[in-house]
Amino acid sequence: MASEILLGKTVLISPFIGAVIVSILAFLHYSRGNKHEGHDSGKHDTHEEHTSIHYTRFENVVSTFGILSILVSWLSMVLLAINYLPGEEHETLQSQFGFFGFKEGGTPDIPFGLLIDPLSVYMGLIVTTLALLIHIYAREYMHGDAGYSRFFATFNFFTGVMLTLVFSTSFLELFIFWELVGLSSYLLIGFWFYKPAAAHAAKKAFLYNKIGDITLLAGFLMLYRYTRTLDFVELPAKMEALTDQQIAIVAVLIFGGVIGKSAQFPLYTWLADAMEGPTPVSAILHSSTMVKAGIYMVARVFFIYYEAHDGHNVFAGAEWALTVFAWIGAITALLAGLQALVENEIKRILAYSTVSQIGYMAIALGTGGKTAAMFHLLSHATFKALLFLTAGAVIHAVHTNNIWEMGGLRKKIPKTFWPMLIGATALAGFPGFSGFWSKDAVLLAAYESKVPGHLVIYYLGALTAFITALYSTRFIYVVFFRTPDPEHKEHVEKAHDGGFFLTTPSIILGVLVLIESILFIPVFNFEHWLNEILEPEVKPEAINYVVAGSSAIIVLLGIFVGLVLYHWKPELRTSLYNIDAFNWIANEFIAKRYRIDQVLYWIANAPVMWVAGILQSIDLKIIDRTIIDTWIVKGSLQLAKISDVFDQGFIDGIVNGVWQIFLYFGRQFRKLQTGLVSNYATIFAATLVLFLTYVNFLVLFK
Amino acid sequence: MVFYWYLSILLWLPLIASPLTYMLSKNKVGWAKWSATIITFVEMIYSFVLWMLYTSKDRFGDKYVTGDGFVFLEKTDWIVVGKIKIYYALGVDGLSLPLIALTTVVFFASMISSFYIKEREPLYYSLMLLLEAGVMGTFIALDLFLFYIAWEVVLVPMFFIIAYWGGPRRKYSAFKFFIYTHLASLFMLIGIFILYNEGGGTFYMPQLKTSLSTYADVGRLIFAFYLLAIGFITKFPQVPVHTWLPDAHVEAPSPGSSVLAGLLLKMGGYGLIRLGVWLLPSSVFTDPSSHVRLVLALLGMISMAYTAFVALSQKDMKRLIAYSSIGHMGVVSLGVASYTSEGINAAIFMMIAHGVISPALFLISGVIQHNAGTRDMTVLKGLGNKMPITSTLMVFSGFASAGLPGLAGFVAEFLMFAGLFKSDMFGYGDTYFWITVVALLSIIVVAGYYLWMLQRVVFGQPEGLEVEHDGHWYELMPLWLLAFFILFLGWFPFVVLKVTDEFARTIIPI
Repeated sequence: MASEILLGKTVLISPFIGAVIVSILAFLHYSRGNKHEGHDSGKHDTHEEHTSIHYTRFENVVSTFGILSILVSWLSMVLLAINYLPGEEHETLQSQFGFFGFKEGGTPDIPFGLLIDPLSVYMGLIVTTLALLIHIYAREYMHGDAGYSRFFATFNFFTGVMLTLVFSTSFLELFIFWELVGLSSYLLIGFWFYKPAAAHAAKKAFLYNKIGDITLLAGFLMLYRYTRTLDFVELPAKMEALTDQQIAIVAVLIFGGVIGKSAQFPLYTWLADAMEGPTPVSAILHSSTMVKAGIYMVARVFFIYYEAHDGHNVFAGAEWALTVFAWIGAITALLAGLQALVENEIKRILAYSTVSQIGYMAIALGTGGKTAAMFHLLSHATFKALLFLTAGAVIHAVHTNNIWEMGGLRKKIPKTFWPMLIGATALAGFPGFSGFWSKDAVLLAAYESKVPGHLVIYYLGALTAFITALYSTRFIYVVFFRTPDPEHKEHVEKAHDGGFFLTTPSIILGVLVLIESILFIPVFNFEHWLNEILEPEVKPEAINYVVAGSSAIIVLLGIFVGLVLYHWKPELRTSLYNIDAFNWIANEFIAKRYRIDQVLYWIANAPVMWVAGILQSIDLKIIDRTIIDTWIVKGSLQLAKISDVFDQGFIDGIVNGVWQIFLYFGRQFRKLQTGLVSNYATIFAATLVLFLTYVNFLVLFK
Repeated sequence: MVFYWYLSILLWLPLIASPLTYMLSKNKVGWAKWSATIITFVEMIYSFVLWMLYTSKDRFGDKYVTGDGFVFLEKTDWIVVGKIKIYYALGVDGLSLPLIALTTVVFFASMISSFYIKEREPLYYSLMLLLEAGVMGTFIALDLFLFYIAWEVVLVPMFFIIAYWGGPRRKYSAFKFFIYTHLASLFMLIGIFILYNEGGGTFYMPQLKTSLSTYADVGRLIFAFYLLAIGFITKFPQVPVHTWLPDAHVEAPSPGSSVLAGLLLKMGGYGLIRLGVWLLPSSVFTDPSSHVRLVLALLGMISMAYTAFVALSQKDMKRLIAYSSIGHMGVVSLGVASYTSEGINAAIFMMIAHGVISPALFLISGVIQHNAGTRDMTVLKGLGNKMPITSTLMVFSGFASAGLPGLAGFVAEFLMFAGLFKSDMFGYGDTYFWITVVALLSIIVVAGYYLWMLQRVVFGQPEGLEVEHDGHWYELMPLWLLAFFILFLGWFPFVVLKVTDEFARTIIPI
């Protein structure tokens, strides 16, 4: 077991070491008097060679170390998985110490350390694999950027933080890294910090997350109030002593954290704005880290919702929270899916698609399908990383983000086209592809669950599947097949594939998606295996051919409609947009994010600023000017005169001194003359010296 | 042989060095800063040595005096007038040890960052040394009389530092600072005399503690607590007696602000815990007729929420940081009010954490003012490109102050909330849960105004700002030092908490 703990520690520490090495390299580089090179523009056209050979060499060294550290992490993760996953019984391994150092016998100390169980190994495997590929991709993508070393340092840090979150052993540790994930995404979204939009997006991401974080904090501290522990291993046994009401409070508050971090309705708009960061950041943010952290956490703390020894028995208190969560997931999936349909920027389409897919995972968790959620997480992580990497390559090739300024790129960038097509097919859930199997598992979980209104949730999920197929078809068709508009013909003509580091990761990912698609075929029992390692106490659902068949039909229908609208009968679109109501809904309502930002602004931002203004004037005008300056100062001047006769008591001398100062202050207040102050200062200093001498004598001669 | 004067060295070194520095550098003005820097550096190293000796007290306790729950105990008769007997008594326990180390660190950092000061250097540095002696005396005095003297001595150098080296409205602010805190300490003095009477006529704290817990009348002690608390709460400060703080901070020179925020506020917190919680018997807090905890909790909650909003509408960076300081001290009040061992630990840890974070922020605002010529956040823009190191440190300290995990502030905030959630809600049951909720929600606003500040100052493109270079070495070096401690305390809180927990356990065993 010791070897597994050691491997686990290597997995966690290696990215941090990478970050430190990169920082040291950068420090050495810049302290030798090298000026910052590269573009400060923050545009995507980092392709033009402006930078010196010297800087390129620096870049190579930096990225090599960055990638190597992740490689070490990935290798140890694979070794750990090979050691740990096979076999029947999976013992939970823990290596921990008390974070606060409280002595034994008093306050329960909160552990900090490493927790190895099938869930964390499974998730760690996903994170390291994708992080490795995206790092390799970033090596070329970030070439020529002024902040190359800063990028790799932060990126390594991000990976390390996410891995530690995955392996955390207590709520405290999870929360620490949960917030640090937020910090790293803040730094990476605002990577081009001189762009106002990026600075704004970074702030928005952090604040929206913070709202969720605070509810999460409240949630697990409530748990601490009831159970006096935050240890993931100790907690399950203590859950049954809680009353329904207590469980309900905890359950709802913890979902609050997920809504912020995993971008669920109504706090999801930050994720689209987060596209201001470099593409590798979007890729890692959407595939395996950050937004998946919320889903992972719920899976980790599933014992709050379902009895630990019998995964089918939901706690009566948590039922309501689960229902709400499933509904939020369904609503998010649908709303974000619709938004992806009207969005024109390729990265934003993918961003909304992520939100929508995470909605699926939320549905699965809400309806009790922990396995289904983690299953969909895996397939989504793979194809979404693939889609983002290829999208970055497309942007790299044509220097624009807008899909309508592209077109017919199929022949120009084949090494990007084929992987992206595979990714989009998987996203659409084309029968037989990885997305199809995992989405089917989610829909099945909704279909078979006992949650009130589960059938409606299932229908919403199915509708979203249709929309997903539709928008996948849309962007693939518009980017790769459509004849480009005349005014954009020029840069489309010039487009060509990226270099080795830019294309290889997406090709590998494409192959991975294909492998997954084969592996997920029910014959190979992947889902059963997953079910067995994640929640052995739950009997897996048998495949339901009605659900599977209907979702296959829905997806094919979606692709068909997409082809009708964009290929066979594009004029149909024009006539649809000619309908006023449709046009308004699409352009004014959906494309403007259902006005969620405005509503949130009116609910949160405006009142906060209003209160801030009022309190500020209370502070300045009422407390300071009226009460202190007017009443107290003038009042004490009066009082001083009266008390002149009165104060002969115990504290005579000192009180007298203060009234003197008060009197003096009063006069000073009216005149404020410089001469007086320095006289006063001299007297005061002299008194003090006398006093100190006196003290000295007392001490010395006693 | 037993060596007695461990703490006297700590106290008298700066006190003697203060006039010497002034006299020696009468002709050689440049000597003053080096003299003061060396003295504070020696103090810092010495305080770390004391820390190490302290942690080994269980093994080598016989080498230095321990007694009455204190280590390095020194106790000699000082003033004896009739029945009144005043001791020169010094000692250290889990509460004061971290604060002593903090004092030396903050003074060392502030001393170096004062190198930009060019006028009346000898006076400035000798006042700073006097200030250090005063702050140190407050933290290690075991006799209430000595405590009060040290407490008052602090006001004088601080007054002159603001009044001589401050900004345009320095005179107003200096007087405001002086009057506020001095008046408040008068209430404290009355409180001290009540304790003296109730406790059978002694100023020596350990003795007083024993006699108070056996003889005294709870009602009168609660009254005394409120009198004492007025003194401490004005010093922290908490709403509504806080308005001196933003003014004093804005007008003080940045090293002065850093000492003010880093240490002078902590004297209030220290007093509250030392006199309010430790000295007074626990019945003051737990008696059914006592509303002490509720009052403290309300003060803390209001201070956190109120200042979070007020900070949001500030334009001056220093004012914003000053308001955030008030909010952070609300954590101390709430921690004490929770009356759990987590809460007490959190209160002490918050003093330490805030004691390294807020000086860093104030010094950074000083660096920005010196190099960019303004602290106005509506004018500042895009410093990230012009001053990369300062900006990095600013993002770092800003997040630390906003309570980012992994940095010092979070540990205190987390422990405070853990204490609040665990507590019986100030003795009033779950209905008073909303106090905790309001405090919790205010954290979002805190994050909001820090992010806003960073977005204004660090991000974006600089327009119309003439910034030629990053900070000088003497501006950046102290910041790195403080940043190191911020990070260190964030990941290794147990170094401090092991010490403070011993103290917290003596008050609340569970």
